[in-house]
Amino acid sequence: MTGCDPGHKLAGMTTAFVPNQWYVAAYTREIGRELFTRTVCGESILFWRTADGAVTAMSDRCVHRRFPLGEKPSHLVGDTVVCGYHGFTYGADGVCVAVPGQARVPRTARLRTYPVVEQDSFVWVFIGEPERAAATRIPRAPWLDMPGWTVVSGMEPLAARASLLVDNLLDLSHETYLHGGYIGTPEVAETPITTEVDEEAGIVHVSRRMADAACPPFYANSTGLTGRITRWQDIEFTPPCLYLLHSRIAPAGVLPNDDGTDPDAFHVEVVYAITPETASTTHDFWAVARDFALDDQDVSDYLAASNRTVVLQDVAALDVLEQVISGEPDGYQELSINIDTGGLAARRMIARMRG
Amino acid sequence: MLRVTWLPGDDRLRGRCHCGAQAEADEPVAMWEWLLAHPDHPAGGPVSLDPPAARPPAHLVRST
Repeated sequence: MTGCDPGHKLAGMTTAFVPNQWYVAAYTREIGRELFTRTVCGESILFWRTADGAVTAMSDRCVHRRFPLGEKPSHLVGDTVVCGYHGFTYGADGVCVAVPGQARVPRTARLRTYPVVEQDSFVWVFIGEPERAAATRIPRAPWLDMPGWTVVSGMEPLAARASLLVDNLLDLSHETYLHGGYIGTPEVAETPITTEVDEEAGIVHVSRRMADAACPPFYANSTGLTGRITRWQDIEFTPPCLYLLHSRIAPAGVLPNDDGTDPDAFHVEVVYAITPETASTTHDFWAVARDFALDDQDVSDYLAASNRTVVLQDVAALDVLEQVISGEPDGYQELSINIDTGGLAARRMIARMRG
Repeated sequence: MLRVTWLPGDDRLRGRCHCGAQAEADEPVAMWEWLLAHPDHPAGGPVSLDPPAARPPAHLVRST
């Protein structure tokens, strides 16, 4: 049942970034007519909306003396960014259109720009060779921007490498111990999982189906269910960065109909976008979409507060783990058991993508 | 599709490759090694690389 894995020592874990991928940089609501910066995969990027509403993404350093363009007194004037240090002015295409004191603008005065797409309430940015962006899939989380669903969401900074969050989310047995009293019950850790790797689609699936489980407060207080429940946790992870947890909650023994309809269950789509900030820090985007109590603000407030608490429990644990790992000599060994089957599959897929 | 199941009441993992080959293992590292060896799945099945019994290592901390 147990085994040391010489193949997944720290040296083999994901510490660098997977290139040529779309990553979530922000929620669409975060980007407006104010300059906004976020570091993605070690690249500091400036975001803003043009007057017609399009999101632009470009390097956050003036080519002149490297002053951050997202730093005041840098500012927008129409559809240009004016550097707050010497006034170098850039258009939405990153090209410098004005410099102080002279008419000639050096041809090399332009900022790196990034392909950017707004989808499913996220702003996605392509990190890598821009010509590869169009042919690279952007994974979907449609419930975040779909009629019939209500969403709460947030983002927490994580002072730990992204691979630790991938490990965390692919093995939900930790809910029993780290998140007891919120989403964890004994049945989560006790219930075996099924893991599938769809190499063609590039997706890792981990399924845990609990037929008769206690209802944790997170679901009891949001659904109103008070007795035992049937609880399904179906993970769909698209490496390197988008994690979906299809959560189904119903009174114990209530299953979907033969035709696939499922009117007597509550469905929650828990979405995480795992965006490396640096090699040892991560943007932990989280969202919870539900198909019940759509207009109930109390339920929204409860789920938002509870899920943020759960995320912060993970953040506290992973921040400590990052400190431990970064303080250890390279090459320590871990021990993996059955619960780690999905996490190991995700690691291998990410390692292959990294090349 | 590669599939690893872990059945209730059973500590062993059962793996099935997209080619139809199947095997059982005691732990997931050996299971994935065997599955990902496609098409050359080792005939003897997954092999766990358990180290010989020894004193557990000390937890070393890097000098700063």
